[in-house]
Amino acid sequence: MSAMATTVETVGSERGSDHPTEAMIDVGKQEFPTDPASQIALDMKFRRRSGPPWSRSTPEELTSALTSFLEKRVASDFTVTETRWLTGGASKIQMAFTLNWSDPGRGAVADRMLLRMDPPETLNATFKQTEAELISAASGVLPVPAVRWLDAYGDEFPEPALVCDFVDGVTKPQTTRTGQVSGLGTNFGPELRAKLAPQFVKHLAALHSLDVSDVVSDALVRPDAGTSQSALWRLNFERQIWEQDRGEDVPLMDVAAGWLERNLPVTERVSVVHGDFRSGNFLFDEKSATITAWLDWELGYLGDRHADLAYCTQPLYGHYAEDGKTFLASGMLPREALFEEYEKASGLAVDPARITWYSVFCSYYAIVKTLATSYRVARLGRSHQDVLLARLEGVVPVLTRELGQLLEKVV
Amino acid sequence: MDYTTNTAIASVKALTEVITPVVDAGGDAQAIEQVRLVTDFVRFIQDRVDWIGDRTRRQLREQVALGREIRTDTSSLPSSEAFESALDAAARVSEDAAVTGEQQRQVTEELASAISRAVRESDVLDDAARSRIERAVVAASLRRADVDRAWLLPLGFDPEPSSVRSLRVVFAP
Repeated sequence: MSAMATTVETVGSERGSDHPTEAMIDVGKQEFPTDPASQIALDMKFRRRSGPPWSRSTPEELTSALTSFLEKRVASDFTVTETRWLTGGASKIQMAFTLNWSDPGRGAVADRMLLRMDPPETLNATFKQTEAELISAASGVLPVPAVRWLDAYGDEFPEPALVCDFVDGVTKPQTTRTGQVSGLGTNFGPELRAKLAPQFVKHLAALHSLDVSDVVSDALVRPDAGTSQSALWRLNFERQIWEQDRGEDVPLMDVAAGWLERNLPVTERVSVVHGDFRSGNFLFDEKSATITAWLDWELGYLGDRHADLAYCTQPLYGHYAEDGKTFLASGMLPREALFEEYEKASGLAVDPARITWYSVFCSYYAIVKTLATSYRVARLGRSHQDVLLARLEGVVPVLTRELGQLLEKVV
Repeated sequence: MDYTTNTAIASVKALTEVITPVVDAGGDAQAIEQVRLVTDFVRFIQDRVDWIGDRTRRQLREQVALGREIRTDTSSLPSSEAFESALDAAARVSEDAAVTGEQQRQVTEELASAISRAVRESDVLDDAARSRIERAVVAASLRRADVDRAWLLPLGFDPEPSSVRSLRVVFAP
Protein backbone atom coordinates (compact mmCIF):
# COMPACT_ATOMS: atom_id res chain seq x y z
CA MET A 1 0.00 0.00 0.00
CA SER A 2 1.57 3.28 -1.03
CA ALA A 3 -0.69 5.77 0.77
CA MET A 4 1.21 8.16 3.02
CA ALA A 5 -0.67 10.51 5.27
CA THR A 6 0.91 13.63 3.92
CA THR A 7 0.92 12.87 0.24
CA VAL A 8 -2.10 10.84 -0.80
CA GLU A 9 -5.73 11.80 -0.43
CA THR A 10 -8.27 9.11 -1.12
CA VAL A 11 -11.73 10.23 -2.04
CA GLY A 12 -14.02 7.48 -0.96
CA SER A 13 -16.12 4.81 -2.62
CA GLU A 14 -13.21 2.96 -4.22
CA ARG A 15 -10.79 2.84 -1.28
CA GLY A 16 -12.21 4.51 1.78
CA SER A 17 -12.16 8.14 2.70
CA ASP A 18 -10.44 10.62 4.99
CA HIS A 19 -13.49 12.88 4.73
CA PRO A 20 -16.69 10.91 4.18
CA THR A 21 -19.49 13.20 3.04
CA GLU A 22 -23.16 12.76 3.99
CA ALA A 23 -23.77 11.48 0.48
CA MET A 24 -21.06 8.85 0.88
CA ILE A 25 -22.42 7.81 4.27
CA ASP A 26 -25.92 7.53 2.78
CA VAL A 27 -24.68 5.33 -0.06
CA GLY A 28 -23.19 2.97 2.51
CA LYS A 29 -26.43 2.90 4.51
CA GLN A 30 -28.54 2.13 1.47
CA GLU A 31 -26.23 -0.51 0.11
CA PHE A 32 -25.51 -2.15 3.46
CA PRO A 33 -28.36 -1.44 5.90
CA THR A 34 -27.81 -2.43 9.52
CA ASP A 35 -29.89 -2.04 12.68
CA PRO A 36 -30.69 1.51 13.85
CA ALA A 37 -28.52 1.40 16.99
CA SER A 38 -25.47 0.19 15.07
CA GLN A 39 -26.14 2.87 12.47
CA ILE A 40 -25.92 5.53 15.19
CA ALA A 41 -22.44 4.24 16.04
CA LEU A 42 -21.42 4.30 12.38
CA ASP A 43 -22.83 7.77 11.74
CA MET A 44 -20.97 9.14 14.75
CA LYS A 45 -17.74 7.49 13.61
CA PHE A 46 -17.87 8.77 10.05
CA ARG A 47 -19.19 12.25 10.82
CA ARG A 48 -16.59 12.91 13.50
CA ARG A 49 -13.73 11.94 11.19
CA SER A 50 -13.38 15.44 9.80
CA GLY A 51 -12.50 16.75 13.26
CA PRO A 52 -8.96 17.48 14.43
CA PRO A 53 -6.47 14.75 15.31
CA TRP A 54 -6.34 13.46 18.87
CA SER A 55 -4.36 15.63 21.25
CA ARG A 56 -3.54 14.51 24.71
CA SER A 57 -5.61 15.91 27.56
CA THR A 58 -3.76 16.48 30.79
CA PRO A 59 -5.14 14.69 33.86
CA GLU A 60 -6.11 18.15 35.11
CA GLU A 61 -8.19 18.92 32.01
CA LEU A 62 -10.01 15.60 32.13
CA THR A 63 -10.52 15.87 35.88
CA SER A 64 -12.05 19.31 35.35
CA ALA A 65 -14.50 17.90 32.78
CA LEU A 66 -15.24 14.99 35.10
CA THR A 67 -15.91 17.32 38.02
CA SER A 68 -18.34 19.40 35.97
CA PHE A 69 -20.04 16.21 34.81
CA LEU A 70 -20.40 14.88 38.35
CA GLU A 71 -21.70 18.22 39.72
CA LYS A 72 -24.85 17.64 37.67
CA ARG A 73 -25.31 14.11 38.97
CA VAL A 74 -24.02 13.91 42.53
CA ALA A 75 -26.24 15.62 45.08
CA SER A 76 -23.70 15.75 47.92
CA ASP A 77 -20.38 17.54 48.16
CA PHE A 78 -17.65 15.46 46.59
CA THR A 79 -14.01 15.43 45.57
CA VAL A 80 -12.18 13.57 42.83
CA THR A 81 -8.78 12.23 43.88
CA GLU A 82 -6.11 9.69 42.88
CA THR A 83 -6.56 10.15 39.15
CA ARG A 84 -4.33 8.01 36.92
CA TRP A 85 -4.25 6.86 33.30
CA LEU A 86 -4.73 3.21 32.55
CA THR A 87 -3.20 1.51 29.52
CA GLY A 88 -3.97 -1.83 27.95
CA GLY A 89 -6.87 -0.97 25.68
CA ALA A 90 -6.41 -0.04 22.05
CA SER A 91 -9.79 1.60 21.76
CA LYS A 92 -10.65 3.59 24.88
CA ILE A 93 -9.04 6.36 26.91
CA GLN A 94 -9.33 5.24 30.51
CA MET A 95 -8.72 7.20 33.71
CA ALA A 96 -9.11 5.67 37.16
CA PHE A 97 -10.08 7.94 40.04
CA THR A 98 -11.54 7.93 43.52
CA LEU A 99 -14.86 9.64 44.15
CA ASN A 100 -15.18 10.83 47.74
CA TRP A 101 -18.91 11.43 48.16
CA SER A 102 -22.01 10.66 50.11
CA ASP A 103 -23.83 7.82 48.39
CA PRO A 104 -27.56 7.62 49.12
CA GLY A 105 -27.94 4.62 51.42
CA ARG A 106 -24.25 4.19 52.25
CA GLY A 107 -23.28 7.61 53.55
CA ALA A 108 -19.78 9.02 53.17
CA VAL A 109 -17.70 6.69 51.03
CA ALA A 110 -14.62 6.71 48.83
CA ASP A 111 -15.39 4.71 45.67
CA ARG A 112 -12.81 3.82 43.06
CA MET A 113 -14.24 4.43 39.61
CA LEU A 114 -13.24 4.42 35.98
CA LEU A 115 -13.87 6.97 33.26
CA ARG A 116 -14.02 5.31 29.81
CA MET A 117 -13.95 7.81 26.97
CA ASP A 118 -13.60 7.33 23.23
CA PRO A 119 -10.72 8.91 21.36
CA PRO A 120 -11.87 11.03 18.37
CA GLU A 121 -11.97 7.83 16.32
CA THR A 122 -11.55 4.39 17.73
CA LEU A 123 -10.76 0.89 16.57
CA ASN A 124 -14.40 0.02 17.26
CA ALA A 125 -17.44 1.95 16.09
CA THR A 126 -19.57 2.02 19.21
CA PHE A 127 -22.54 3.69 20.86
CA LYS A 128 -22.04 4.22 24.58
CA GLN A 129 -25.77 3.89 25.31
CA THR A 130 -25.68 0.35 23.92
CA GLU A 131 -22.61 -0.49 25.99
CA ALA A 132 -24.23 0.81 29.18
CA GLU A 133 -27.50 -1.05 28.59
CA LEU A 134 -25.72 -4.31 27.81
CA ILE A 135 -23.70 -4.10 31.02
CA SER A 136 -26.91 -3.47 32.97
CA ALA A 137 -28.62 -6.41 31.27
CA ALA A 138 -25.72 -8.74 32.01
CA SER A 139 -25.23 -7.62 35.60
CA GLY A 140 -27.69 -10.16 36.93
CA VAL A 141 -25.92 -13.18 35.48
CA LEU A 142 -22.19 -12.50 35.41
CA PRO A 143 -19.73 -10.14 37.09
CA VAL A 144 -19.54 -6.74 35.41
CA PRO A 145 -18.49 -3.26 36.53
CA ALA A 146 -21.62 -1.29 37.44
CA VAL A 147 -22.23 1.70 35.15
CA ARG A 148 -22.78 4.87 37.18
CA TRP A 149 -23.27 7.63 34.64
CA LEU A 150 -23.25 8.11 30.90
CA ASP A 151 -22.48 10.81 28.32
CA ALA A 152 -23.55 8.92 25.20
CA TYR A 153 -22.93 11.68 22.66
CA GLY A 154 -19.95 13.50 24.15
CA ASP A 155 -22.06 16.48 25.20
CA GLU A 156 -20.08 17.06 28.38
CA PHE A 157 -16.78 15.27 27.84
CA PRO A 158 -14.62 15.87 24.76
CA GLU A 159 -15.94 12.54 23.40
CA PRO A 160 -18.64 10.00 24.40
CA ALA A 161 -17.87 8.57 27.82
CA LEU A 162 -19.19 6.54 30.69
CA VAL A 163 -18.27 6.25 34.35
CA CYS A 164 -18.32 2.80 35.93
CA ASP A 165 -17.04 1.15 39.07
CA PHE A 166 -13.39 0.17 39.18
CA VAL A 167 -12.94 -3.57 39.62
CA ASP A 168 -9.74 -5.13 40.92
CA GLY A 169 -8.07 -7.89 38.98
CA VAL A 170 -5.61 -8.65 36.20
CA THR A 171 -6.13 -9.69 32.58
CA LYS A 172 -3.17 -12.06 32.49
CA PRO A 173 -0.86 -13.69 35.03
CA GLN A 174 1.70 -11.19 36.18
CA THR A 175 4.49 -13.61 35.32
CA THR A 176 3.43 -14.39 31.75
CA ARG A 177 5.43 -13.17 28.78
CA THR A 178 2.66 -13.88 26.28
CA GLY A 179 -0.17 -11.69 25.16
CA GLN A 180 1.72 -8.51 24.27
CA VAL A 181 -1.57 -6.98 23.12
CA SER A 182 -4.02 -7.78 25.86
CA GLY A 183 -5.69 -11.12 25.22
CA LEU A 184 -3.81 -12.20 22.12
CA GLY A 185 -2.45 -15.63 22.93
CA THR A 186 -2.40 -15.18 26.70
CA ASN A 187 -1.08 -18.31 28.42
CA PHE A 188 -2.61 -18.66 31.88
CA GLY A 189 -0.63 -21.79 32.72
CA PRO A 190 -2.16 -25.18 33.57
CA GLU A 191 -3.17 -24.49 37.18
CA LEU A 192 -4.89 -21.18 36.59
CA ARG A 193 -6.42 -22.43 33.36
CA ALA A 194 -8.08 -25.36 35.13
CA LYS A 195 -9.84 -22.93 37.47
CA LEU A 196 -10.66 -20.17 34.99
CA ALA A 197 -11.94 -22.31 32.10
CA PRO A 198 -15.11 -23.55 33.84
CA GLN A 199 -15.99 -19.96 34.80
CA PHE A 200 -15.31 -18.78 31.26
CA VAL A 201 -17.76 -21.33 29.83
CA LYS A 202 -20.33 -20.88 32.60
CA HIS A 203 -20.39 -17.11 32.09
CA LEU A 204 -20.79 -17.40 28.34
CA ALA A 205 -23.62 -19.89 28.79
CA ALA A 206 -25.33 -17.66 31.36
CA LEU A 207 -25.06 -14.62 29.10
CA HIS A 208 -26.59 -16.42 26.13
CA SER A 209 -29.34 -17.96 28.23
CA LEU A 210 -30.50 -14.56 29.44
CA ASP A 211 -34.07 -13.69 28.48
CA VAL A 212 -33.79 -10.61 26.27
CA SER A 213 -37.47 -9.82 26.04
CA ASP A 214 -37.16 -6.93 28.52
CA VAL A 215 -33.80 -5.48 27.43
CA VAL A 216 -34.90 -4.16 24.07
CA SER A 217 -34.58 -0.39 23.54
CA ASP A 218 -33.53 2.15 20.91
CA ALA A 219 -29.94 1.25 21.74
CA LEU A 220 -30.52 -2.49 21.75
CA VAL A 221 -32.49 -3.50 18.71
CA ARG A 222 -33.69 -7.08 18.54
CA PRO A 223 -33.50 -8.86 15.19
CA ASP A 224 -36.35 -11.16 14.26
CA ALA A 225 -35.86 -14.73 15.41
CA GLY A 226 -36.38 -17.30 12.69
CA THR A 227 -34.77 -15.04 10.07
CA SER A 228 -31.27 -14.17 8.85
CA GLN A 229 -31.69 -10.53 9.86
CA SER A 230 -29.15 -10.71 12.68
CA ALA A 231 -26.40 -12.09 10.44
CA LEU A 232 -27.19 -9.56 7.70
CA TRP A 233 -27.09 -6.62 10.13
CA ARG A 234 -23.69 -7.68 11.48
CA LEU A 235 -22.26 -8.25 8.01
CA ASN A 236 -23.55 -4.94 6.71
CA PHE A 237 -22.22 -3.07 9.73
CA GLU A 238 -18.72 -4.29 8.89
CA ARG A 239 -19.15 -3.67 5.17
CA GLN A 240 -20.00 -0.03 5.77
CA ILE A 241 -16.78 0.29 7.77
CA TRP A 242 -14.74 -1.50 5.11
CA GLU A 243 -16.10 0.91 2.49
CA GLN A 244 -15.02 4.00 4.43
CA ASP A 245 -11.87 2.86 6.19
CA ARG A 246 -9.79 0.70 3.88
CA GLY A 247 -6.69 2.05 2.19
CA GLU A 248 -6.47 -0.65 -0.45
CA ASP A 249 -8.64 -3.21 -2.18
CA VAL A 250 -8.22 -6.78 -1.00
CA PRO A 251 -9.87 -9.30 -3.35
CA LEU A 252 -10.06 -11.93 -0.59
CA MET A 253 -12.33 -9.61 1.39
CA ASP A 254 -14.69 -9.40 -1.58
CA VAL A 255 -14.75 -13.19 -1.87
CA ALA A 256 -15.54 -13.42 1.85
CA ALA A 257 -18.26 -10.76 1.74
CA GLY A 258 -19.87 -12.45 -1.26
CA TRP A 259 -19.88 -15.87 0.38
CA LEU A 260 -21.21 -14.47 3.66
CA GLU A 261 -24.02 -12.67 1.88
CA ARG A 262 -25.01 -15.75 -0.12
CA ASN A 263 -25.05 -17.98 2.95
CA LEU A 264 -26.66 -15.90 5.71
CA PRO A 265 -27.71 -18.21 8.57
CA VAL A 266 -31.04 -18.10 10.36
CA THR A 267 -30.99 -17.22 14.07
CA GLU A 268 -33.53 -19.32 15.95
CA ARG A 269 -33.05 -17.58 19.32
CA VAL A 270 -31.91 -14.04 20.04
CA SER A 271 -29.31 -13.65 22.80
CA VAL A 272 -27.14 -10.96 24.31
CA VAL A 273 -23.89 -11.18 22.34
CA HIS A 274 -20.84 -9.73 24.09
CA GLY A 275 -18.99 -9.25 20.82
CA ASP A 276 -15.49 -9.45 22.32
CA PHE A 277 -15.71 -12.46 24.62
CA ARG A 278 -12.16 -13.80 24.99
CA SER A 279 -9.11 -13.91 27.18
CA GLY A 280 -7.88 -10.39 27.85
CA ASN A 281 -11.39 -9.06 28.31
CA PHE A 282 -12.02 -10.41 31.76
CA LEU A 283 -10.38 -9.51 35.04
CA PHE A 284 -9.53 -12.18 37.55
CA ASP A 285 -8.11 -12.37 41.04
CA GLU A 286 -4.82 -14.18 40.65
CA LYS A 287 -4.83 -15.59 44.18
CA SER A 288 -8.32 -17.10 44.18
CA ALA A 289 -8.46 -17.65 40.38
CA THR A 290 -11.90 -16.06 40.30
CA ILE A 291 -13.16 -13.97 37.39
CA THR A 292 -14.07 -10.62 38.91
CA ALA A 293 -15.46 -8.75 35.90
CA TRP A 294 -16.21 -9.02 32.20
CA LEU A 295 -15.06 -5.90 30.38
CA ASP A 296 -15.33 -4.20 27.00
CA TRP A 297 -19.02 -4.48 26.16
CA GLU A 298 -18.74 -1.85 23.46
CA LEU A 299 -19.08 -4.40 20.64
CA GLY A 300 -22.15 -6.09 22.09
CA TYR A 301 -25.61 -6.40 20.56
CA LEU A 302 -28.65 -8.64 20.46
CA GLY A 303 -28.11 -11.44 18.00
CA ASP A 304 -26.91 -14.98 17.42
CA ARG A 305 -24.91 -16.65 20.20
CA HIS A 306 -22.72 -18.40 17.63
CA ALA A 307 -21.00 -15.07 17.03
CA ASP A 308 -19.43 -15.23 20.51
CA LEU A 309 -18.68 -18.95 20.20
CA ALA A 310 -16.87 -18.53 16.88
CA TYR A 311 -15.11 -15.39 18.11
CA CYS A 312 -13.62 -16.82 21.30
CA THR A 313 -12.32 -19.88 19.46
CA GLN A 314 -10.43 -17.94 16.78
CA PRO A 315 -6.78 -19.05 16.50
CA LEU A 316 -5.54 -15.53 17.23
CA TYR A 317 -6.77 -15.68 20.82
CA GLY A 318 -5.50 -19.14 21.61
CA HIS A 319 -2.23 -21.01 21.96
CA TYR A 320 -0.89 -24.55 22.15
CA ALA A 321 -0.98 -26.36 25.50
CA GLU A 322 2.13 -27.69 27.19
CA ASP A 323 2.04 -30.86 25.05
CA GLY A 324 2.65 -28.73 21.96
CA LYS A 325 -0.26 -30.39 20.15
CA THR A 326 -3.51 -29.32 21.79
CA PHE A 327 -4.72 -25.91 20.72
CA LEU A 328 -6.53 -24.08 23.50
CA ALA A 329 -9.25 -21.64 22.44
CA SER A 330 -8.78 -18.35 24.30
CA GLY A 331 -6.09 -20.17 26.31
CA MET A 332 -8.86 -22.15 28.00
CA LEU A 333 -10.04 -25.39 26.38
CA PRO A 334 -9.78 -27.22 23.07
CA ARG A 335 -12.48 -25.89 20.78
CA GLU A 336 -14.69 -28.98 20.75
CA ALA A 337 -14.43 -29.39 24.53
CA LEU A 338 -15.42 -25.75 24.97
CA PHE A 339 -18.50 -26.28 22.80
CA GLU A 340 -19.45 -29.46 24.69
CA GLU A 341 -19.15 -27.77 28.07
CA TYR A 342 -21.10 -24.79 26.77
CA GLU A 343 -23.96 -26.99 25.57
CA LYS A 344 -24.11 -28.70 28.96
CA ALA A 345 -24.09 -25.41 30.85
CA SER A 346 -26.56 -23.54 28.67
CA GLY A 347 -28.83 -26.21 27.27
CA LEU A 348 -28.36 -24.45 23.93
CA ALA A 349 -27.14 -26.36 20.89
CA VAL A 350 -23.99 -25.44 19.00
CA ASP A 351 -24.81 -25.52 15.30
CA PRO A 352 -21.71 -26.39 13.20
CA ALA A 353 -23.07 -24.61 10.12
CA ARG A 354 -23.49 -21.37 12.04
CA ILE A 355 -20.08 -21.81 13.67
CA THR A 356 -18.62 -21.98 10.16
CA TRP A 357 -20.47 -18.87 9.01
CA TYR A 358 -19.54 -16.87 12.11
CA SER A 359 -15.93 -18.07 11.94
CA VAL A 360 -15.65 -16.67 8.42
CA PHE A 361 -17.42 -13.55 9.61
CA CYS A 362 -15.11 -13.13 12.63
CA SER A 363 -12.03 -13.36 10.42
CA TYR A 364 -13.61 -10.94 7.97
CA TYR A 365 -14.39 -8.32 10.54
CA ALA A 366 -11.08 -8.74 12.36
CA ILE A 367 -9.43 -7.80 9.05
CA VAL A 368 -11.80 -4.84 8.71
CA LYS A 369 -10.49 -3.61 12.06
CA THR A 370 -6.81 -4.44 11.80
CA LEU A 371 -6.23 -3.63 8.15
CA ALA A 372 -8.78 -0.91 7.40
CA THR A 373 -9.79 0.91 10.59
CA SER A 374 -6.34 0.75 12.21
CA TYR A 375 -4.82 2.18 9.06
CA ARG A 376 -7.36 4.99 8.73
CA VAL A 377 -7.28 6.02 12.40
CA ALA A 378 -3.48 5.98 12.60
CA ARG A 379 -3.12 7.74 9.25
CA LEU A 380 -5.28 10.61 10.47
CA GLY A 381 -3.78 10.63 13.97
CA ARG A 382 -7.20 10.16 15.52
CA SER A 383 -6.47 8.13 18.63
CA HIS A 384 -4.29 7.97 21.71
CA GLN A 385 -2.94 4.61 20.55
CA ASP A 386 -2.04 5.27 16.90
CA VAL A 387 1.31 3.54 17.26
CA LEU A 388 -0.39 0.44 18.65
CA LEU A 389 -3.14 0.49 16.01
CA ALA A 390 -0.57 0.76 13.23
CA ARG A 391 1.26 -2.20 14.71
CA LEU A 392 -1.87 -4.34 14.36
CA GLU A 393 -0.88 -4.74 10.70
CA GLY A 394 1.19 -7.58 12.14
CA VAL A 395 -2.00 -9.53 12.83
CA VAL A 396 -3.32 -9.25 9.29
CA PRO A 397 -1.47 -12.17 7.64
CA VAL A 398 -2.50 -14.43 10.52
CA LEU A 399 -6.11 -13.44 9.94
CA THR A 400 -5.82 -13.59 6.17
CA ARG A 401 -4.44 -17.10 6.39
CA GLU A 402 -7.29 -18.11 8.68
CA LEU A 403 -9.89 -16.54 6.41
CA GLY A 404 -8.34 -18.13 3.33
CA GLN A 405 -8.24 -21.56 4.93
CA LEU A 406 -11.88 -21.26 5.97
CA LEU A 407 -12.97 -20.10 2.52
CA GLU A 408 -10.98 -22.87 0.83
CA LYS A 409 -13.49 -25.31 2.29
CA VAL A 410 -16.64 -23.52 1.20
CA VAL A 411 -16.16 -21.59 -2.08
CA MET B 1 25.55 2.82 -0.09
CA ASP B 2 22.35 3.32 1.87
CA TYR B 3 22.77 4.29 5.52
CA THR B 4 19.23 3.70 6.77
CA THR B 5 20.17 0.52 8.67
CA ASN B 6 23.06 2.28 10.36
CA THR B 7 20.82 5.15 11.42
CA ALA B 8 18.19 2.72 12.69
CA ILE B 9 20.79 0.92 14.82
CA ALA B 10 21.89 4.25 16.31
CA SER B 11 18.28 5.23 16.93
CA VAL B 12 17.54 1.99 18.76
CA LYS B 13 20.60 2.57 20.92
CA ALA B 14 19.44 6.10 21.77
CA LEU B 15 15.92 4.93 22.51
CA THR B 16 17.07 2.02 24.66
CA GLU B 17 19.93 3.56 26.57
CA VAL B 18 18.99 7.22 26.84
CA ILE B 19 15.30 7.84 26.26
CA THR B 20 13.55 4.80 27.73
CA PRO B 21 15.14 5.08 31.21
CA VAL B 22 13.98 8.69 31.43
CA VAL B 23 10.46 7.77 30.31
CA ASP B 24 10.35 4.87 32.78
CA ALA B 25 11.43 7.15 35.61
CA GLY B 26 8.62 9.56 34.74
CA GLY B 27 6.02 6.87 35.44
CA ASP B 28 3.62 7.83 32.61
CA ALA B 29 2.08 4.44 31.73
CA GLN B 30 1.12 5.38 28.18
CA ALA B 31 4.54 6.85 27.42
CA ILE B 32 6.23 3.78 28.89
CA GLU B 33 4.18 1.50 26.65
CA GLN B 34 4.57 3.59 23.53
CA VAL B 35 8.32 4.15 23.76
CA ARG B 36 8.73 0.39 23.61
CA LEU B 37 6.45 0.10 20.60
CA VAL B 38 8.42 2.81 18.83
CA THR B 39 11.74 1.17 19.67
CA ASP B 40 10.46 -2.14 18.44
CA PHE B 41 9.34 -0.62 15.16
CA VAL B 42 12.71 1.04 14.56
CA ARG B 43 14.26 -2.40 15.09
CA PHE B 44 11.79 -3.74 12.53
CA ILE B 45 12.94 -1.13 10.02
CA GLN B 46 16.56 -1.94 10.77
CA ASP B 47 15.83 -5.57 10.03
CA ARG B 48 13.63 -5.14 6.96
CA VAL B 49 14.73 -2.07 5.05
CA ASP B 50 17.02 -3.97 2.68
CA TRP B 51 14.16 -6.28 1.69
CA ILE B 52 11.49 -3.73 0.84
CA GLY B 53 12.21 -3.86 -2.90
CA ASP B 54 12.00 -7.66 -2.89
CA ARG B 55 8.62 -7.52 -1.21
CA THR B 56 7.25 -4.98 -3.66
CA ARG B 57 8.40 -7.01 -6.67
CA ARG B 58 6.98 -10.19 -5.19
CA GLN B 59 3.57 -8.61 -4.57
CA LEU B 60 3.44 -7.35 -8.14
CA ARG B 61 4.47 -10.71 -9.58
CA GLU B 62 1.81 -12.55 -7.53
CA GLN B 63 -0.90 -10.08 -8.49
CA VAL B 64 -0.10 -10.39 -12.18
CA ALA B 65 -0.16 -14.19 -11.90
CA LEU B 66 -3.61 -14.03 -10.28
CA GLY B 67 -4.86 -11.60 -12.92
CA ARG B 68 -3.73 -13.94 -15.70
CA GLU B 69 -5.33 -16.93 -13.98
CA ILE B 70 -8.79 -15.38 -13.84
CA ARG B 71 -8.56 -13.42 -17.09
CA THR B 72 -10.69 -15.76 -19.17
CA ASP B 73 -13.48 -15.97 -16.60
CA THR B 74 -13.65 -12.19 -16.21
CA SER B 75 -13.90 -11.49 -19.92
CA SER B 76 -17.69 -11.19 -19.94
CA LEU B 77 -17.95 -8.97 -16.85
CA PRO B 78 -18.94 -5.28 -17.12
CA SER B 79 -15.50 -4.20 -15.89
CA SER B 80 -13.54 -6.49 -18.21
CA GLU B 81 -12.02 -3.65 -20.20
CA ALA B 82 -10.68 -1.94 -17.08
CA PHE B 83 -9.49 -5.32 -15.83
CA GLU B 84 -7.53 -5.96 -19.03
CA SER B 85 -6.02 -2.51 -18.91
CA ALA B 86 -4.90 -2.90 -15.27
CA LEU B 87 -3.50 -6.36 -15.96
CA ASP B 88 -1.58 -5.23 -19.05
CA ALA B 89 -0.12 -2.24 -17.19
CA ALA B 90 0.94 -4.40 -14.25
CA ALA B 91 2.43 -7.05 -16.53
CA ARG B 92 4.43 -4.42 -18.42
CA VAL B 93 5.79 -2.88 -15.22
CA SER B 94 6.67 -6.29 -13.77
CA GLU B 95 8.87 -7.02 -16.77
CA ASP B 96 10.59 -3.62 -16.79
CA ALA B 97 13.78 -3.44 -14.73
CA ALA B 98 13.91 0.35 -14.98
CA VAL B 99 10.69 1.16 -13.09
CA THR B 100 10.59 2.59 -9.59
CA GLY B 101 9.21 0.86 -6.52
CA GLU B 102 6.45 3.46 -6.46
CA GLN B 103 5.37 2.50 -9.99
CA GLN B 104 5.37 -1.15 -8.99
CA ARG B 105 3.22 -0.44 -5.95
CA GLN B 106 0.80 1.68 -7.95
CA VAL B 107 0.09 -0.90 -10.64
CA THR B 108 -0.17 -3.63 -8.01
CA GLU B 109 -2.85 -1.66 -6.18
CA GLU B 110 -4.70 -0.84 -9.38
CA LEU B 111 -4.73 -4.48 -10.40
CA ALA B 112 -5.95 -5.47 -6.92
CA SER B 113 -8.82 -2.99 -7.32
CA ALA B 114 -9.66 -4.45 -10.75
CA ILE B 115 -9.65 -7.98 -9.34
CA SER B 116 -11.82 -6.89 -6.41
CA ARG B 117 -14.31 -5.35 -8.81
CA ALA B 118 -14.36 -8.53 -10.87
CA VAL B 119 -15.08 -10.61 -7.75
CA ARG B 120 -17.96 -8.29 -6.81
CA GLU B 121 -19.39 -8.55 -10.32
CA SER B 122 -18.93 -12.33 -10.54
CA ASP B 123 -22.45 -12.98 -9.24
CA VAL B 124 -23.64 -12.59 -12.84
CA LEU B 125 -21.50 -15.56 -13.93
CA ASP B 126 -22.51 -19.19 -13.69
CA ASP B 127 -21.56 -20.89 -10.43
CA ALA B 128 -18.60 -22.73 -11.93
CA ALA B 129 -16.98 -19.60 -13.33
CA ARG B 130 -17.59 -17.64 -10.16
CA SER B 131 -16.14 -20.47 -8.11
CA ARG B 132 -12.99 -20.61 -10.29
CA ILE B 133 -12.41 -16.91 -9.71
CA GLU B 134 -13.00 -17.20 -5.98
CA ARG B 135 -10.76 -20.24 -5.62
CA ALA B 136 -7.97 -18.53 -7.52
CA VAL B 137 -8.24 -15.46 -5.27
CA VAL B 138 -8.22 -17.58 -2.11
CA ALA B 139 -5.17 -19.56 -3.25
CA ALA B 140 -3.29 -16.38 -4.17
CA SER B 141 -4.24 -14.82 -0.84
CA LEU B 142 -2.83 -17.78 1.05
CA ARG B 143 0.45 -17.45 -0.87
CA ARG B 144 0.48 -13.75 -0.07
CA ALA B 145 -0.25 -14.45 3.62
CA ASP B 146 2.71 -16.81 3.70
CA VAL B 147 5.02 -14.03 2.54
CA ASP B 148 3.46 -11.44 4.83
CA ARG B 149 3.76 -13.73 7.84
CA ALA B 150 7.49 -13.85 7.17
CA TRP B 151 7.65 -10.10 6.68
CA LEU B 152 5.75 -9.22 9.85
CA LEU B 153 7.05 -12.02 12.07
CA PRO B 154 9.18 -9.73 14.28
CA LEU B 155 6.01 -7.95 15.45
CA GLY B 156 5.25 -11.07 17.46
CA PHE B 157 1.64 -11.84 16.60
CA ASP B 158 2.02 -15.14 14.77
CA PRO B 159 0.69 -18.05 16.86
CA GLU B 160 2.86 -20.51 14.92
CA PRO B 161 6.18 -18.71 14.46
CA SER B 162 8.15 -21.92 13.96
CA SER B 163 6.23 -22.58 10.73
CA VAL B 164 7.15 -19.22 9.20
CA ARG B 165 9.89 -19.23 6.57
CA SER B 166 12.82 -16.81 6.53
CA LEU B 167 12.84 -13.82 4.19
CA ARG B 168 15.83 -15.27 2.39
CA VAL B 169 13.78 -18.35 1.51
CA VAL B 170 10.57 -16.46 0.79
CA PHE B 171 12.23 -14.01 -1.58
CA ALA B 172 14.57 -16.48 -3.26
CA PRO B 173 14.36 -16.04 -7.05
